[in-house]
Amino acid sequence: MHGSLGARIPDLLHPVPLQRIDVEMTKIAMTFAFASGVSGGLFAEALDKSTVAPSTWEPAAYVSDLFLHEFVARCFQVRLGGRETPLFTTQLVKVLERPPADPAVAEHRRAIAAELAASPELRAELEQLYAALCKFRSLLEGATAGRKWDANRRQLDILVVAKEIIDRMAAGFGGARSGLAVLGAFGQEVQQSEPYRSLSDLLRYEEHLATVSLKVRVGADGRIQAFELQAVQENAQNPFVSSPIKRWLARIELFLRGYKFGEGEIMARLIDAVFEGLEDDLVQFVQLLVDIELYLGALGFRDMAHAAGLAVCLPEFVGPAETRELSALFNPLLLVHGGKAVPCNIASDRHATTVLVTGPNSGGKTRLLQAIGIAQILGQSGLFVPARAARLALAPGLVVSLIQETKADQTEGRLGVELIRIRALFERLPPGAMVILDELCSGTNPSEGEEIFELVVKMLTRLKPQAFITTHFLAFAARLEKERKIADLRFLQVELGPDERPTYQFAPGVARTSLAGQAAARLGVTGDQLLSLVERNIAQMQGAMLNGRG
Amino acid sequence: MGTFLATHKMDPALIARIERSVGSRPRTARVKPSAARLRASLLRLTIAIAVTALATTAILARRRYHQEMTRARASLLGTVHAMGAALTPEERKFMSRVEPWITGLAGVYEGEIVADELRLPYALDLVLARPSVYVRGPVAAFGNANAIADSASASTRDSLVLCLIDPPASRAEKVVLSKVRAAYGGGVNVAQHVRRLHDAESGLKQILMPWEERIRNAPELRDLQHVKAELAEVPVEAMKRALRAELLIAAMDEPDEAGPADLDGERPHQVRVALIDLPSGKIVLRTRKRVDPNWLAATTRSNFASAVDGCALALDIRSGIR
Repeated sequence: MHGSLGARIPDLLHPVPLQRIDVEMTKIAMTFAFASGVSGGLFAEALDKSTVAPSTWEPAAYVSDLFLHEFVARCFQVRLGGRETPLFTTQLVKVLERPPADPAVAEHRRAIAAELAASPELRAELEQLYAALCKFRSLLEGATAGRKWDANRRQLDILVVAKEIIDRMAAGFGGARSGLAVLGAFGQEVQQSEPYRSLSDLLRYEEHLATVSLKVRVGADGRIQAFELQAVQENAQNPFVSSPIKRWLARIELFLRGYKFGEGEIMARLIDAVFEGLEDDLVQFVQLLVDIELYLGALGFRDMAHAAGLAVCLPEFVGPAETRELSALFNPLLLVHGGKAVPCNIASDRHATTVLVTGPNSGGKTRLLQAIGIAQILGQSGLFVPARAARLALAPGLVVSLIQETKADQTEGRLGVELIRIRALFERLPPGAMVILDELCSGTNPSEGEEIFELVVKMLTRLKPQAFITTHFLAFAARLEKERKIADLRFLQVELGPDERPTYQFAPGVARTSLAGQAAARLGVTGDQLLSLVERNIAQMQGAMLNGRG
Repeated sequence: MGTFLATHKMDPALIARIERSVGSRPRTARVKPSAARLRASLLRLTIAIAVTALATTAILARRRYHQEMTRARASLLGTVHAMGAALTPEERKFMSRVEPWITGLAGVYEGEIVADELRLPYALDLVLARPSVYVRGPVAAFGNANAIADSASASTRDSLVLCLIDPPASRAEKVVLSKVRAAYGGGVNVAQHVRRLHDAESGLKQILMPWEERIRNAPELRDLQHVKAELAEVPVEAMKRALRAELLIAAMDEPDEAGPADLDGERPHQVRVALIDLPSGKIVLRTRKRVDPNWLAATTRSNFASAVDGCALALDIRSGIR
């Protein structure tokens, strides 16, 4: 964590402002970029090295299984002027993958997200501020080729945008009730500082050195016949205005000091001095850009869900003994891929329960697990969760195991990999964490697999997790439900419709069938279908042989 | 160390940053001025100092030059004023007093005059002992002021004036020749009080030149130095002594008679001689005598005909008065 160094920090992510970037290094990079117009990705580099608030979560235990990067890249969308804006996806994932350990941080973010969702005016202000920040970044990093030949003009353009950002912060967020108010406070504080006054004076000096009053005489033919200079009034109040003689002396001074002999060099020195005064404040724009992207991205996700007829919400966090609920929960990854997300309701009576989910293949069990995991991450990060209403319990960690890829260097068979997976789960699982496991022990024969499964479930309960586990060991699950030996065990099954097809809804209980036959028929793996394929292949082979002889 | 980029209306913090930006105040460690800029700065500073030193030297030299000119001009003006102040109005008009007498004598000879007081014993010696100016030349060379000036420049204190003041003991050739040799050889100069008319005429002409105008208009020191050199050439002392003359001694050679000329051009001819008392404006002596070198031995005539004639003429004038 980088120290704040007593600077003003417009931090939107934490109630106690946190300096997450290396200010000194970023200032050097910003000074270089300002002077040269070539930054080499100043913002990205500074943000890559940035830190986040302390978290007890281990991203490696769930990020890849939940496709978190893809979720952020596709669902967190910010549109400016009708065009989608590229975001710092890696930085946003970095924030999301480490939900803050301090609940106050999440509450702080929830308040901001709620205020933005409730106030289109504030959201519009934030979007305009974000647009100005993007322009500032673009000018600073030299992404805009125009006017690059005039270094002073480019630097003045940067300062103009910097002033616009400060002014927008001061004027647009003064009335905010959430953590957005920090923007207003920051802007107003900067406006009262000497560097800002110097910035304003310099920009006025640049655009208004003097007023020349002319009288123009126009002839009968409409052409200008003569000019008459009536008055020349210098903007004497401006601190940057000095006499022509002094400006000449300044040019000579600069020449003797090794600079160019020109009016432009004077302006360059003044710009440099003004920029130096603002550096401590301007460097804060770097992390502010990502902060705003997080909220605008979350709002973009909300818009996307609304467009698909779905609702998102800011969850309510409840105690361990209270009921957990996720109403109209949907899997946002389905929106990304153009699929139809069917919302469902999930509830459990308290925190420390292990839910065994059973049901037919392609019944939505894995999608449910992804949705639960993503909702927990977003909820604990203080953002909108993919559900119309949610009551969640805080978890000190998350372990997700959904996908078992076969690797080229894999030394163990499928059972061995399964056992390693179980070992790793217990190695990293803290008490009270959320566990999401898909098809536990599916890599061995059912009888032996069931023994290991039961062992795992029993051991898990000692860690009081909130666990969601899918399985096709239906008989085994039914036995566990019937015996009730494990007190914290709960059961959910995929609901089937009248046509015995999954409804993607979940109800208490254990499924009676995996409907493998339906899946086989749907995918063309019935006896008749396979026989017809075999006969076709034999006929093709015989035809080929006859043609070869002919 | 400040900078001309700062103004009094600026905040001190901004001024400090501007000073850091231009390099008049050390920057923080993270932003140091480049070595190239330091080199350029040192080079330009060196050039600026050199140019300033040259300009200052040139300005100081010019100032010294002008001071020197002023001093030289003032000194010369002082000299000119001093020279002018040394002349009385009467002295300034000396030539205008003398010239009528000379032109008059050069005209038709009006007969011999010998003032009565000159006939007294030693009277001529007393008259000739007074401060005098002397001029001698062809009678035709005294027609006007310019001609008088030219004749005066060619006229020197010859044997006539020397022998008139200090006559030889007899008219014997040997005695006269001895007197002439002694006089011309630098013996006792008895005619120190007799100045050439040229000293007065030339001195006045030079001293009355527009020196002040030339001095004031001289553009350069060397011009003043030329003026100074010319002023040094002005024979002020000789002029002043000539201007103090109370007696004008004028001798005019009438045209030569026919016959052969001696080696020094001497031939028999008439000579007009006049002594004019300048303060009173009175002719003390006006006489006309013939000179003829034929009485001399051939060896003497070949070298000293003119000088001996002059000395003989002086004896004739003296004897004529008696």
